[in-house]
Amino acid sequence: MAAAPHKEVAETCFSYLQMELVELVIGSDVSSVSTVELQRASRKIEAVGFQVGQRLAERYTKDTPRFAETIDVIKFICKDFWFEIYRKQIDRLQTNNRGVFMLQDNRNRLLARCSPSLERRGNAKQVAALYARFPAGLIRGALSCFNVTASVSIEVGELPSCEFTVKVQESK
Amino acid sequence: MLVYTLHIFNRSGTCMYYREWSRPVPNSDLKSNNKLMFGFLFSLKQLVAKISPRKGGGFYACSTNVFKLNYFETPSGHRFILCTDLSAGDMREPLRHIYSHIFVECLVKNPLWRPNEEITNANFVQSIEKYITSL
Amino acid sequence: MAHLRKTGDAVFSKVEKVNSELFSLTYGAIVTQLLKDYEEVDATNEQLEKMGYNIGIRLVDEFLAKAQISSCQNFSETAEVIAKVGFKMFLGVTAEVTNSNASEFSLQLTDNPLAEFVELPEQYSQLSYSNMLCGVLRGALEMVQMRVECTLTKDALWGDDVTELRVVLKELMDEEYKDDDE
Repeated sequence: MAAAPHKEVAETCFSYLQMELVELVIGSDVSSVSTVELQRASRKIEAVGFQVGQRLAERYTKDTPRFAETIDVIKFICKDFWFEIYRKQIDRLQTNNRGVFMLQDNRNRLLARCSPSLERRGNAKQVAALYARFPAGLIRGALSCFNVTASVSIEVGELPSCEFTVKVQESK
Repeated sequence: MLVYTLHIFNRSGTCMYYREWSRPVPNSDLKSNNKLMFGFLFSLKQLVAKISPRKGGGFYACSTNVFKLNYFETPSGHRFILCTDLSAGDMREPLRHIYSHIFVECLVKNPLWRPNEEITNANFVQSIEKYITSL
Repeated sequence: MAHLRKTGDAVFSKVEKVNSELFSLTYGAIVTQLLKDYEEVDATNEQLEKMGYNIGIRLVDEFLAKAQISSCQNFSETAEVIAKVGFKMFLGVTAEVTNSNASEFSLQLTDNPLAEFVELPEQYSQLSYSNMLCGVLRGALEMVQMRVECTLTKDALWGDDVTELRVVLKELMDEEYKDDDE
């Protein structure tokens, strides 16, 4: 059966959706949001990413054999998965070989467009971190698709790069 | 060609961006001068529409003895005004470029920009600087 | 209208694109999150429309900048521009304009990227799943001085053969400048 041509939409549609999602969970002014609300907002954004990541990973690996090791799942996420979504791969992967993986994306497309106003420069990192929750959720969702349970934390250093730390929970 | 100033107004008359490159006569009262500028352009637009001898309203430039005011308005109500010296040619393309490639790319697509706010975002400011000095 | 199709195709070919699955799954996950938060259909519909409105007031500038459409002579032309250029350059699909007159028109989509692979569960059968599109149109048109009401009148998810949006012009807004000296 011939594969249907890949259907596409403008990238900005995806960006605007994410912008509205962040707006939805924190409202207009980050500076007036309490830490608790910020955490709740982060979780919601991550949850949306999780759902998307899980379903996408399912779709992308429908006809491929199962992955043997966790590291293979991670590599898939860093290469094919990330490329399908962001048209680039994860730039750097490090691991301590004990279930912790660090994935670095030097140039997240949406973070690259973030430039704060002077007034809100102080909150820029916080808001950028919210945007980074979506790809963090994508990673966690993709992992769960292959029965890998993990926590994914983020660190937004120098924009537009961000780092995802994946801690795999050992299942006995 | 000498570029004096750039103004960007939104539809309701708020000056979202103002930048001076060269202004031999200092701007005495920025706020009221901006208001005057907006009001003048608004009236001029209406006047031109009324008295135009041919069908088709709109204007894109008007000159005084010492400077030229170049004007570009989007259907969404954003007004870009570039004041230059008289040697400047048709500035429609540069103004359109500022809109399509700087305003849209740096602000509209910027998650940290809010519509109708005063523009101080670094990516925009730097891009404008780069572009205007290249003219 | 062939030249509008051409314009739409040309613009779409030049924009950065993403997989439409990524987009529709993200949209779906947002709808799911909204249903979780609001727990009922009307509030979710309303929120989707609001979010769409916020997107519309931004997206209109991207549209105007890229499509370089000169002003439309009448509302029917506006409809065609939205259907052939607007939809195409953002969603990659064109819409058909039907039932149009000087103050109303319908846009029909046979292919709706927002709702790919979606099925509405029984308890949410009244959901206007693609209501965000209505908000986008309302916001975008408001920025160009047209106050409209936009509703989802048919939906493939409701069992209809097309997804249809009805746009009704309420008011052509006049340019007003009030010199309010404080």
